[in-house]
Amino acid sequence: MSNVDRLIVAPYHSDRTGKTCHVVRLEHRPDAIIVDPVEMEAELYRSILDVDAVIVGVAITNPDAIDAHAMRTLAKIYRLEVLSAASSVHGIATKSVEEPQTLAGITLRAVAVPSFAPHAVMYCVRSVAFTGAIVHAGTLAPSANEFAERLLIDSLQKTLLAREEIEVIVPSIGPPTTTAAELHLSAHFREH
Amino acid sequence: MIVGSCSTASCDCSHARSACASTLGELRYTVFRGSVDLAHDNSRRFFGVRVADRRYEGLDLSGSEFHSCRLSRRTFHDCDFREARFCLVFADYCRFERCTFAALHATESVFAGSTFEHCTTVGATADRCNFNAVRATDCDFSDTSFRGSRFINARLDRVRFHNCDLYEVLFDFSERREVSFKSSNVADAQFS
Repeated sequence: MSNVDRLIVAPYHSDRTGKTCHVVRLEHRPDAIIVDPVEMEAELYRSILDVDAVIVGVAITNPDAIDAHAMRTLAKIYRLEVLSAASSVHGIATKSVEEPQTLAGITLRAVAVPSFAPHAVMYCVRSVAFTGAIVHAGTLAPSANEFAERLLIDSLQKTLLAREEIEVIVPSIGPPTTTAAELHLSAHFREH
Repeated sequence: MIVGSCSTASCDCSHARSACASTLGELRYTVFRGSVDLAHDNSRRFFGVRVADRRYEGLDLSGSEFHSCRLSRRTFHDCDFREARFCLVFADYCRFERCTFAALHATESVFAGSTFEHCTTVGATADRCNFNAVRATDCDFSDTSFRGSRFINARLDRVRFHNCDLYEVLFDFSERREVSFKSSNVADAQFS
């Protein structure tokens, strides 16, 4: 058996907001991070307690769209390190993502997507890409016009989809997908 | 729902890391560790594994739990997934022939590009699952919850969705022949 700890990715879907956040941790460690937290609903908090996880960090793909209540509640409960391309999120100072960052033993590599939003990033962890609201199964975040959409598609093809190590895409909107499915089945990427 | 780490290793590479690496590629990148042959493994819980590359026939996988598993490009003929649980299961480009998924509980799983022939999901939950570009023929998907799932660009022939919950399901660009949605909740579903 390999010595590499397995990565546990646990989705939590908020029916109220329609978004999914992901609690990520290593198999033998209690500390965990949350990617794009949704509002701290009782069921989410209970789920974290059930597995004795301690949240030590938050990774934010798009600081302009993150729920202020979620961030403030988490910051009250846990001592957090926050990763974002913006220098602060709802008054909470963040760590730069220009270099890979390690939280809870998990190394996150940020991929900037300025064609979506000025501070938008995706996070790559091993073979998983957390893409937030930027790219989902078969669809993309809405763009202001055709040119902006083309820029976004080009950017994703050169960054996310060009990385051979990335196998699965876990967005905060809609179901997950795989890079193979997006490259071969999504109308956005097949045509370009 | 957050699922804790599972004690089932289900890995056939315990003595040969190099062999394991040849299956998995770069270990340090991967989430899926080890591979498991479902036909020769009596475990009912599979966590973070790849399913070995072979054709599976007549398997009884009823009540099995799959979490963070990769089943991509496998063929399942006459297999029983009754009351199985799937969470973050990646079963893209699979072939399911005469399989039953009755009372399956699946969330956040990927079946994109897969083929379903003579399959049934009666009484199942498949919320926030990715069925993009699936080909389903002579299937009964009745009494199933597909909330938030996607069937973008799917080809559906003689498929029944009777009494289904299709809230926010996307059927964009899908080809539908002899498909019935009788008594289903199609609120906010898209059929463009």
